[in-house]
Amino acid sequence: MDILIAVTREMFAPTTAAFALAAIGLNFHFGLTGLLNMGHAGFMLLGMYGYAITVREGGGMWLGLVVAVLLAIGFALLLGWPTLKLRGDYLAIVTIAAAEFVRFLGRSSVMKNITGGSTGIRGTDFKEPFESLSPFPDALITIGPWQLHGSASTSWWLVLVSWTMVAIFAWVFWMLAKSPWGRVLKGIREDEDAVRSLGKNVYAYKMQALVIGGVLGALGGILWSFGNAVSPDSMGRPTTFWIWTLLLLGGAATVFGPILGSVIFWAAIVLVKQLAALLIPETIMSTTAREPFALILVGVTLMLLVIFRPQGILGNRRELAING
Amino acid sequence: MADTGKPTPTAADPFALVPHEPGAPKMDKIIVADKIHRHFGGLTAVDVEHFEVQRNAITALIGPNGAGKSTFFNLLTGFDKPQTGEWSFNGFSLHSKSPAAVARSGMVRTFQLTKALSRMTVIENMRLGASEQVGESLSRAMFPGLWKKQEKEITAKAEELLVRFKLDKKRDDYAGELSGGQRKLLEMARALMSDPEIVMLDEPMAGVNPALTESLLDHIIELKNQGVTVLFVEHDMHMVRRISDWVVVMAEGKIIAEGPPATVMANKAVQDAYLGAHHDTDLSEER
Repeated sequence: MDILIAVTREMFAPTTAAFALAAIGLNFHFGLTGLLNMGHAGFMLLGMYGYAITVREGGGMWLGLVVAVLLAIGFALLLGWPTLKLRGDYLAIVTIAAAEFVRFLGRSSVMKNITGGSTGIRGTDFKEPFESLSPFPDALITIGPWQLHGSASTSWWLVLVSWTMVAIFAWVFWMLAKSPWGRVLKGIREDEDAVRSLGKNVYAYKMQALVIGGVLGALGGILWSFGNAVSPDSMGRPTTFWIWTLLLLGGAATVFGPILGSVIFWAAIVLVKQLAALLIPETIMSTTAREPFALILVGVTLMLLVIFRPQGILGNRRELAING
Repeated sequence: MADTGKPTPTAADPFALVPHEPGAPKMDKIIVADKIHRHFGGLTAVDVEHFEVQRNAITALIGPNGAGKSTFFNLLTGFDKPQTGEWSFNGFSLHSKSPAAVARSGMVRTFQLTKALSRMTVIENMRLGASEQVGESLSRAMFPGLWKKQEKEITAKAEELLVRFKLDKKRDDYAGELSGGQRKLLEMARALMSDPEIVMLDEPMAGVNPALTESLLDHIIELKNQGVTVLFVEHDMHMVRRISDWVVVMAEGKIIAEGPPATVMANKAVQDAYLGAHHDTDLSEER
């Protein structure tokens, strides 16, 4: 019973929403446009740095949001400018390196006064303005079988805000994907040169997609930091790969794919960890080994899924059966 | 130049007074290119001194493999840049214009390896061909009210073209599910969505089922009847003879002959280019 509560709690946890939002961003990149962004965690990290540092320095919540969004836009323009005219692989190489660059710069001791070095920025330094907006009482609240704090950290307030944002941007994705603008992006995904030959400025469209997806990544990063703290090392390459995994799991280019993917992915990890704790004695598997074990098991399941259902859970089999 | 007994030019034959020589001036030119030079390292791919295309006619660009036809095509449409040269379309210079800008100016091309957008439906492929859909701009995409009406017009036009190209039954199929010939038709129909003045077809017959060839030829002739100029690259001599008004022959990057299909095939330079200059000499004496 405790397992069920823990698993369902993970399903609606703010971190799950944060990853869903970041995955919607990646869905703009990969699902719609076919851009291989392998550094999505870099956008998330840049977003949380931009927000947390601005708020810590007394800039306030809204300025923090603006700074985070501007940083993401700037980062996307910087990465896209040299690479979007080249073949897709180059964007992948540049983004994976740039994301690591952001992380290393953030955790370097030279930047310690600004980014807090490898320890990052503590929650108390930047969460206050957001949490003070909470309409919920400043105490533990039990709704159904789940108990969360009303306003602090991983709270009901954060659950409400983060899932509202996921809903809004899923709607935005849906509206844009079915618009003529989205049609051009899908055309670019299929064949850039064909779209060029029809008179569309491919470079500009790819740049727009990269910027929008990057901004959603940054917003996802901020939500994630509200439930945790700003820590550069939790935004490394694995984070990027998780986002990719859950996007493909749910189904790329679908509206609900990133959301469903995130829910299943995180719930599955908690489920495996809890079951391992229950069934495997401490002498065989230590507490610290459970996390990697869960990831391995989830990874294997995902490999099977990609082999036997490559379009993801919500994807269209007929669409994927077409080669070239 | 040799044809002296030709009648005075009429609308029926705009080529009557055009000399049968490389770079011949045309009566009503839609494309003019000068001194186009493109080399890849030490290899000269295209070296065209002067080239003109007659408006509202079907011009074929032929030549043996490696003659530079496709490269020349890419240069004219902005998909490749020459080292030197100047070329214009309707008097409007296309030098250093992007492929998209070239297409918007009214010159739309197709590709040798068909570029149907596989994981999009036939109708979506067609809609993408339309120009000036305001909903294609990001700032307006979120407001369907701004583009819904236009989308209806575009769809109606697309459906009309699909009927004409006999693809209307495939409307909601994915383009990737069509046969090779149907994809060629789709690509051609899609190119017409923007009402181009000239369509440039890169080997329209390549990979097409012979049963479909006739209908494809008819479609190209129909384009001309509707006032569209056609320039195409082709290997299939039957097709060239059957539909083209004028033939331009390239070899080793240069234009070596021009003329109506019947006379150009008899040209000595053309036969040499295709078969080798010594194809009918007896090499045994060198023994």
